[in-house]
Amino acid sequence: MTEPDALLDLRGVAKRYGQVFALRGIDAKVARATKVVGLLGPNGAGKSTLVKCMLGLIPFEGHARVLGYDPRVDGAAIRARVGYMPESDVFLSGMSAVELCAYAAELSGLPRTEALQRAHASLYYAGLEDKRYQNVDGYSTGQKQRVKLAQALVHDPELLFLDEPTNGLDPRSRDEMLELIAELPEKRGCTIMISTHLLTDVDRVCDSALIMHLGQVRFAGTIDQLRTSAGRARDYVIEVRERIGDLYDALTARGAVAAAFSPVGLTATLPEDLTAHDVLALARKANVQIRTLEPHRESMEQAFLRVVSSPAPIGADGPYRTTTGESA
Amino acid sequence: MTQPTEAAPPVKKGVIHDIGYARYAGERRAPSTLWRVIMRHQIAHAWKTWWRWKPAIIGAVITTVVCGVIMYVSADSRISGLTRAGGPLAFIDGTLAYSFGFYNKFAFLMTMTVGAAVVARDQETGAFAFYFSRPVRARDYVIGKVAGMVVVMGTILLAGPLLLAAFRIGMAGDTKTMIDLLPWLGRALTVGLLASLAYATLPLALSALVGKRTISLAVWAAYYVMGTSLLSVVGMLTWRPLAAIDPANAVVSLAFGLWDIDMPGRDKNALVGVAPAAISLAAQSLIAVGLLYNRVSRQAAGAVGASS
Repeated sequence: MTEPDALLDLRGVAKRYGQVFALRGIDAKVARATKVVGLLGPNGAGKSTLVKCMLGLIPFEGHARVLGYDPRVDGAAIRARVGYMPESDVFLSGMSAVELCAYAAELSGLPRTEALQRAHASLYYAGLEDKRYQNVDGYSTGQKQRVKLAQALVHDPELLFLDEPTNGLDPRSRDEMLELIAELPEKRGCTIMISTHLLTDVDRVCDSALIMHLGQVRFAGTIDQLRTSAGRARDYVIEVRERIGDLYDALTARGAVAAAFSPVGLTATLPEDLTAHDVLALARKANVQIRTLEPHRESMEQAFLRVVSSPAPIGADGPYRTTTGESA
Repeated sequence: MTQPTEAAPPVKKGVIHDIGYARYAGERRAPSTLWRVIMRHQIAHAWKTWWRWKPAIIGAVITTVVCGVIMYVSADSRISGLTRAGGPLAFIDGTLAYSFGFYNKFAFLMTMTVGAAVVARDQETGAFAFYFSRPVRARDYVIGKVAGMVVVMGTILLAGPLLLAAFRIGMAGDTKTMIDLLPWLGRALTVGLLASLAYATLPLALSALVGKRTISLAVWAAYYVMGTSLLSVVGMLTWRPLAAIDPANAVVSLAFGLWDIDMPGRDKNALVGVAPAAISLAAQSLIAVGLLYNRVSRQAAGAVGASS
């Protein structure tokens, strides 16, 4: 088969359980060049249903291609090329980590010898090289998370789906897990889709986000686009060494709306005819030393809440295009 | 005086390593063959610890050896001289059929240490997500588990009887007797296979229906020990084929029927005919596989999904 240009191509994907719409005609496209995508949304947004549809586990309406395959026909082929790290434990009791990973690889279609070799390699990659012969039942939470990552990686997936990968981890283990995840696209050549409620994790490792709410895709685009999509492109955060009042006066005199948030910091909404260079010139003229001048960026939490409370989907350019509708 | 040794470099814990990576470009196993992987795992898992498979194997081996010794001793002319007329020959030919009563007990032991916990444990530990996020389909899982358990049960209910049948044929004094005894292999195979199938599928289905390992074990034990006994009694009092629902009774009835043996110590009223016994074992196995497939396929999709 030809190499598909899109990792994920959904057009009008809809799913209904009785009278309840789980997915309301989703259109989304994820390019192969994408590295880490955050699949976000409040509980009941439809993330689980979307994942099940993508893996060919449940029937749905509309058109979908995952890794170039149709999930309704080639579900098994898709699942052979997708790695899945679930939130809950998936351990078969009485097995060592290397046995578990080798079994996982064999179930994904790899021959026995290759499966065993890759089980060792994936556990080594996950930092469990000295623990791999121990029974998984006795692992700590952090080690279990690593085994889950290793078993998802072992069959060399093209798309890796991670469900709450840092759940229950202490700060150091969480840091290490995020480091592993961030390295994966580069080292393993796979795209990662993370489902998490921890937006700081998304901010740290994801380059793109797919936000769902009430069975619709409400935002699809890069993290930068998400955080600047509030229509506040003329908002700036300015920090000075001293004499904030002089800069405040200079800016408001040119029509800017400014508000101090600290003795040395203020936010300013610049008028159309005023640029960041003009702000620097005004500061020089007022003899005020500027230490920081940057566009205002929402926090991930603010951006997320804005998107899910928005009545209409927020589109973005980039690797995605998204429209939503009531095609179901 | 010992020389101070150079301090070993501190062992780094949790450090990210990579021993090299190359994308896998080889052939992938077809999904239709994944049941073999599951079957192999099921057998390996049963063998792993000392208490699952091995005690039942030891029991079956002891049964086989004891029955073989009894056959051998019964065939000895010096011993036969001590018995009543016709006794030794009838005894030697009845031992194999009688042995199924003992094999049944060890098969039940196997269902308690392995069979009745298999699917329930997978449900409890989240193994369904492990299986069904991969190319494994519900039918691959069911076929793999059933095949694995049939192999495990076969070592108890099939291997021993086949060995005894072969042993009996080997003890034949002349070629004609040997040829006459050849159907023993077919009978042992029939009873052993049907028994293995029933003892493999019934606890698996119950395990899938209950979903909790400990409850599944308790329900299976109660059903096997008390429920089926009750059915046997009701069958004896009302309609005898009803007693064939008891798998142990069906296996023994089938064996006694096929060998046309009437051994002292067996309650004739408790036994059912060959046809009801065979039909019961086959039908119960089919129903159990159907229930197992239905339960597993319904849970397969629900096992996978994002946190929400």
